[in-house]
Amino acid sequence: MLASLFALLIFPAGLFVLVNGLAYHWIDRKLVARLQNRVGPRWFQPAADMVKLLANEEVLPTGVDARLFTALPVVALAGALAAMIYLPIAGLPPLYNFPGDLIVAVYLLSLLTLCTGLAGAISKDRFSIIGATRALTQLFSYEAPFLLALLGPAFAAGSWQINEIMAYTSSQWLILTQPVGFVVALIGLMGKLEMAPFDTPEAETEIVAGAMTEYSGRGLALFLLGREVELVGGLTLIAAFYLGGINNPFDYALKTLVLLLGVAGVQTLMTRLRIDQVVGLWWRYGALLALGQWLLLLGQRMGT
Amino acid sequence: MNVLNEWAFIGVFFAIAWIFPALPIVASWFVRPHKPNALKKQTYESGVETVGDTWVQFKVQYYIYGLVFLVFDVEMIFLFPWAVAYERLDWFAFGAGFLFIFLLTDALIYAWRKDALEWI
Repeated sequence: MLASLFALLIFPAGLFVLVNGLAYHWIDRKLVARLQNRVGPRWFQPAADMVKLLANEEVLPTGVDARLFTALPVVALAGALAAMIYLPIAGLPPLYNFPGDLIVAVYLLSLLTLCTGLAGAISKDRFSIIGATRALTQLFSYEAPFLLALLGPAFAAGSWQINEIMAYTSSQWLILTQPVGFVVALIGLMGKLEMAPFDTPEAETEIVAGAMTEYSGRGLALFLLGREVELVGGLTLIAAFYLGGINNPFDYALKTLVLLLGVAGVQTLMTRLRIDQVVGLWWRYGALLALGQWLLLLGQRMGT
Repeated sequence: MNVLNEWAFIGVFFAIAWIFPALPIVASWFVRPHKPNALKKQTYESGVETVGDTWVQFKVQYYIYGLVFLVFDVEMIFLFPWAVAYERLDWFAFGAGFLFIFLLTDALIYAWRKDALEWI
C-alpha cells in the first residue's frame, strides 16, 4: 500500500512527472533559443515562472462562472497526471495496465485541450472565445490522425495494451517499417499541444493569449503544468511505440530527448500557420497519410 | 482478471491526482494578495468596455469540422478491436474491415472534393 502510494505520488508518476515536465519545457525553450542564436533561459526559469505565477493574485473577471473558472485548470492537470500511470515513465514498466488502456491514455491526454476550450468559452472576453473555437477546431483535426497513427503499432503487435505493444516494439524499430505513421504521430502531438507552428489558438500577435487571456496566477500555472506533463506523456508514448520501446531510464532519457530535439527543430524552422492552414493541412494530408499507411500495412500483412 | 479492481484503480488515481493541483492552490492562498476591485475585474479588452455577451451564433466552419471529426473518430474506435483481433479473423471479417477503411478514405476524399474542409 505504502509502496504503491509512493509510486503514484512521487516516483514514477506524480511529482517526478511534474519535475520532468518542467525540465523538458526548459530544454525545449533552450534548444529553440540556441537554434535561433539567442542565449535562452537558465535552467530554473520554468520553475521560477511557476513560483511567480502562484504568488500572483488571481483575478476573477466579471461575467464568468466562478466555479468552472477555478475547476477547469484543476481538471486539466489531474487528467494529464492520471494518464501517466499507463505510460512507461522513466523507463519503468507502466504502473498499471489492462486490455485497452491505450484508448484511456489517449482520451486522458486530450482532456487538457477540452478544458482549454471550455475555459475560453465561459468567459465574456472576445479573444478567449476566438481562442476557444480555434483550440477545439484544432483538436478536431489533430486528434483523429494521431489516434490512427498509434493504431499502426497496435495493429502490428496485435494488442491495444500499452505494455504488450512495447514488448513487441522492443525487438524492432517501427519507425523503419512505418515511417509515415511516426511523422503523423509526432506532428499530431505538436498540434495537440499547440506548439510553435501550430500555436494559432494562442497566437499572441492576433488574439492576446487565446483561451488563456482571462487566466492569471494559479489557473494559468496549472494549465501550463498540465501542458508540460502532456508533453512528457506524448513523447514517451511515441518513443515507446516507434523508437524501439523504452526498457530502462537511459533509453527513456535518450529517446525522448531525441524526439524533443526534432520537435524543437520543427518549431524553429516553421513560422506560425493560419488557422485555416493548420486545420486544412491536417484534415487533408495528415488524415490521408495515416489512412494510406494503414492500407499499406494491411497489404503487407496479406502478402505474408 | 478482476475488471472491477482495475477500474477502482483509476478512481484511486483520480483522487490522488487532485492532490497535485490542490497543493499549489492551498500554498498560493497564503502568499498571494487578494484585493479585487471593479476596475481590475473588468473583462480584458483593448481599451474599451466589453459590450454584450459572447454566447452568440458564429463560425459555421467549426460545426462542419465537428461533424467530420465525429464520423472519423467513431469509425476509428471501431477499427481498434478489428485490428487487434486481426490474426484470428476469417476472410469475411477481413474483407468487411478492408471495405470499411476504403469507405473511410473515400468519404474523406469526398468531403475534400465537396469543399467541406474549406475555411469559409
